[in-house]
Amino acid sequence: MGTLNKNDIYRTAVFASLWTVSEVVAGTALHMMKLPFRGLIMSVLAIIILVPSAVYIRQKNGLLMMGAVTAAMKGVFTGGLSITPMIAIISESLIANMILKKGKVNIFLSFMCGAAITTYTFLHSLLSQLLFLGWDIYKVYMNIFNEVTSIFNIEIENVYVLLGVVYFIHILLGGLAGLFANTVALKLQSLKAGHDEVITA
Amino acid sequence: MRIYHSILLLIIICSAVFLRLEAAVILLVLTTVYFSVFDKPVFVRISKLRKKLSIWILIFLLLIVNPILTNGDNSLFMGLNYSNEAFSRGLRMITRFLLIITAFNYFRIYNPGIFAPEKLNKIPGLSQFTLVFEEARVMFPRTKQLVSGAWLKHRETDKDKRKGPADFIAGIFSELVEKQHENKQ
Repeated sequence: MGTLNKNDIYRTAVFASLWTVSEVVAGTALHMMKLPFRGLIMSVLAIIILVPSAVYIRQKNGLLMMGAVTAAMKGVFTGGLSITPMIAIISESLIANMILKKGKVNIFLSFMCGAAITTYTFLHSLLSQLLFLGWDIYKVYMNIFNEVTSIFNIEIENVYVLLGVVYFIHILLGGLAGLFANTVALKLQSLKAGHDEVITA
Repeated sequence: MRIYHSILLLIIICSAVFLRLEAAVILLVLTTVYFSVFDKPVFVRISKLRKKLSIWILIFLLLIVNPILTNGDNSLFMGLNYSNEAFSRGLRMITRFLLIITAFNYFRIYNPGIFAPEKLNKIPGLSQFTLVFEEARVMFPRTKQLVSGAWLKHRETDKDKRKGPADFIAGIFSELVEKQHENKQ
């Protein structure tokens, strides 16, 4: 981790507080509504914040720091201990940190970043359930699959196809969110030039 | 910290998470017995409260793990029916949490001062994390206010005069950086 100067600290804090606002406001609302795929919606929001923030946060591991602070703030500002969203926030920022190195933002990297984050989202619940419930949870899922397929008299392979389709939708939405975030980043780059002078003054 | 203590605790945590829960509980009970009987000087160092807490957790684990081990046949404990799968799973989850907490507690006990500030400060990036966290915590209410203000302003503007979504979001981000800086000044 490189040493952060005053501007780095300030900018990382601004985007961390913004991400926390989205997590606390939208995350809580979605959680209360019990909407399906709420993790995917939150990931899309995360992509839209993470990619443009790379324009401002250029120091080494800056995005990871932003994610760690957001996760900690989510823990502080949300009632109860929300461990799995905190793990998701840190993982998403780690992915963005690995792909958008030193603030390099372009269409390809943004698309990749979005797709990688939503790939993680697809796997997130399976991984976090493994952590808290153990291997048994997969046996429960397999039993459910078998029961459902026997009730509707369909082949189990079709369930894997359905999973593949869900995964494809995740990647597609993540990629599109990445492209949109890239547009935001480009617009932000043009607006940033003016602010840089003010901030460093 | 003796290396075999660390390995034992690691095995307990791993078995609690990935393997059989019963094995983890038995390992933890054996570890506690071993620590308290054969390693008294170390066990004495635990604060009274922590010692009590560890013992109560162990008693709880023994009480709930017995009916789980007997696979629902034992319904004497508090008259609860352990054949209820959802209830049994809930108990298993609580047990897993307690196991991890207790193992972590032992880890702290056998690594005195591991979470002391002078040791924590050596972790790369932690002091910077604290600085960013403190700054972000102070900014949070103002950020919330600025975002909701920008959203309301956007909604009040005539539809044909509204900015596109990318322009709108870039505008908010840029305004945040600018306004929070002004606020700081």
